[in-house]
Amino acid sequence: MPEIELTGANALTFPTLTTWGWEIAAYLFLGGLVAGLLVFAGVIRLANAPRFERALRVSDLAGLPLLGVGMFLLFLDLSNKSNVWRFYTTFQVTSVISWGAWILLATMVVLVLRFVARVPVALERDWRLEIGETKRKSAIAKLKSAIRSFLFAIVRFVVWTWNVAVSIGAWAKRHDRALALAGVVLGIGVGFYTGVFLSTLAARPLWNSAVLAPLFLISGLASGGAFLCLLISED
Amino acid sequence: MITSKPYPIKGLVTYGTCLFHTLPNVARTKDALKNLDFHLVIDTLPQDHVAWADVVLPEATYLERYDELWACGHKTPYIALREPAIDPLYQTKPAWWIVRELGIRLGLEDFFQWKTAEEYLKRRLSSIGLNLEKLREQGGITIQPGKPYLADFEKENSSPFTTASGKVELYSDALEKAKLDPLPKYEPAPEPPAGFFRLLYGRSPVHTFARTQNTPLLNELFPENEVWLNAAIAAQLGIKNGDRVMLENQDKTRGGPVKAKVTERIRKDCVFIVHGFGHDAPGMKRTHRRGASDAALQTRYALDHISGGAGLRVNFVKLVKEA
Amino acid sequence: MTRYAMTIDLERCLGCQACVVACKTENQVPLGYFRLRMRTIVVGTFPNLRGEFRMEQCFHCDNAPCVPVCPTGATYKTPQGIVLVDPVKCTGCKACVTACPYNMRFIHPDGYADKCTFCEHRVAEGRVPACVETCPTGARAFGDLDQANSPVRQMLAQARRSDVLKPETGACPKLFYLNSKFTNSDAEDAPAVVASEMGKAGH
Repeated sequence: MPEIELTGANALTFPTLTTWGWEIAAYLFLGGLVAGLLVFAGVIRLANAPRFERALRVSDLAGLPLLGVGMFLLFLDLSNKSNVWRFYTTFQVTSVISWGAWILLATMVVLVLRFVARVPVALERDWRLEIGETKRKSAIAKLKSAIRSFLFAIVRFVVWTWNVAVSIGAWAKRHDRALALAGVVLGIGVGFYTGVFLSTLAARPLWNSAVLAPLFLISGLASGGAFLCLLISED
Repeated sequence: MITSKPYPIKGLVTYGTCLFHTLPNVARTKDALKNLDFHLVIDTLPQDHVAWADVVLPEATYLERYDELWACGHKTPYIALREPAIDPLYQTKPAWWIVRELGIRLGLEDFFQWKTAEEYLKRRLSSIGLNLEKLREQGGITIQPGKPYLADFEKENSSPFTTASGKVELYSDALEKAKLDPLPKYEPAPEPPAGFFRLLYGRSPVHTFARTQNTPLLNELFPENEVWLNAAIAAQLGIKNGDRVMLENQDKTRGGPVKAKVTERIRKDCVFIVHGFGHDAPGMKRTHRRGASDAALQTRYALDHISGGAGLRVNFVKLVKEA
Repeated sequence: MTRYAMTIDLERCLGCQACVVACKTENQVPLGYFRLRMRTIVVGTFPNLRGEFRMEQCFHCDNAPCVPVCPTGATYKTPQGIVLVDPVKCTGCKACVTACPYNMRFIHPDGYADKCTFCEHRVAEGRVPACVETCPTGARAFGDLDQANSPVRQMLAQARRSDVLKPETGACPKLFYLNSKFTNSDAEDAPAVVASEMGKAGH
């Protein structure tokens, strides 16, 4: 029996590789799921299958929060979080992670557009309320009225944002087919890139195989399909 | 200190010595200390024996003090300077200051006419035409002109050897005259009793004696010693690598708990531990009670009747698995 | 072209770890984290034993797999062949830590990826890395592979054999182990981790 002892190993890589934990595992699932949803939704729209309208709606509404959580988990995993913006000040063509950062950004844009396309109506009620002049100029009264006008300013801002979203959503609805195509392409990108990244690591023989990337994509599609089946009983 | 023969010793100064690790049979050392009227300890660390002092004078470490010049007279003789890199931390003092202050209080001012270490060193260096600045310019070390040891004797046509024949003697007439063996005669050492192993101790290159076990950079590389046990023997005893065991010697003195290192790198009739662990020193937090102390387990030692040298590897231990 | 490299003569290495401590003090590596590590390898049955100490650290590979994966360009190779990390740009995504076939990288408590830098700050001043300077047996040598008669070229020429770890990764490490006792042909004798790791140096 050979006797091998190691002094001065770092806990991160010895005795097992512990660089990534539950955050990345959960992201891989969510990323694959969203990839699946985007591909299915895109295909449904491009194939013009009204039978699956509900599936489309579920995909549009669920995609954004799911990927939002996924990207937040990626952020949580970073050891140097204050530098997260540096993913977006450069593009490193050899780094699949860099590709992924930009693909995720583009995917988020598409998901936002598809999400706001589902926002039904603009808010038209006039939320302005009268702020009566107080005759008493006591400090309490002034404070109260200041607080009320501040709160109303917030409400007015929210309404304005909502209406902006509605108009963007209207634009998105008009370019529905283009977005669907973009969704399919980006969905495949999201589903693919993590598998590509892991498969290129000669350091990790378990992952170092060409089959990993298609494996990730297909399992993402399966998750997406299963998710839709779960929520749409009649289809 | 224990027997008061040939005369009682009632006062002790322990300076720069890990008393409970450097001497075997710690129990006996403690008995001796109990007989003292006064025990002064001067140390840089809160070592095990510091708790047995009446007065503790904390010394600054080598990085914080001047020391006596290091004069080394070997093949390339040199004189080296030790000077402080920083001022002493906390309330520690360099040895020269401690000794001087004690001397003055003992009425020995005449022997301490210098007031600072620099004054003292300057006086010494002036005898070879140097001073501190010049020595520093040379990088703190000055090579002295010198010749190999034997050249002087060759010139005077005399022998450096203090034997009657003036030669190195393999058969010693002087020993024969004293009714001792003129040629060394091999006397086999006693073997370990059944179930016991000879306790061997030695060093790790990471640590120095018993004083670095608490140093953070060294402690993280080698935090505790392990008892090396031959793999075949370990299999027989049912001891696995990493099991914690107690060591019990022939006089029922126990040490540990200590981790077993099951290895091929040791004989079947011996076990080995690195010296200087098993500290009982709460002030040395990183190393307090970690590992086993070889000195504590060495309750016996063999004294060579000619030279007086002590052999410590004459203790036998058995391994007791922790419950 | 300059290609800095290091050699370690395994016949001279005592496993004293003075290099580990010198590195920690020179580079202020925090407690619990290591840029250098030591592997003790012993093979055989008492009393027929062979062993050696193998110091491991970033090999500053010619074809470093950790450099292309970095998404922000924080990790890069200098024109002199030293692989470095710019802590200012590092996001701590750990792609490089996972990409190193030798597990030489770690994440510094301040969040960025860290590892041996061949003491680039000393090399820039014409000095050797701290580990090389402190080695009491002269087991380590450092220098330019592309300069004939540099210390590393001399050591490589004098050695009976030189090996690198895991040559099959194609990373082309630039730290060469000299005079190892273990070879790939020691299949029965050498432990699997050594037999597959030591191979002919492809420099």
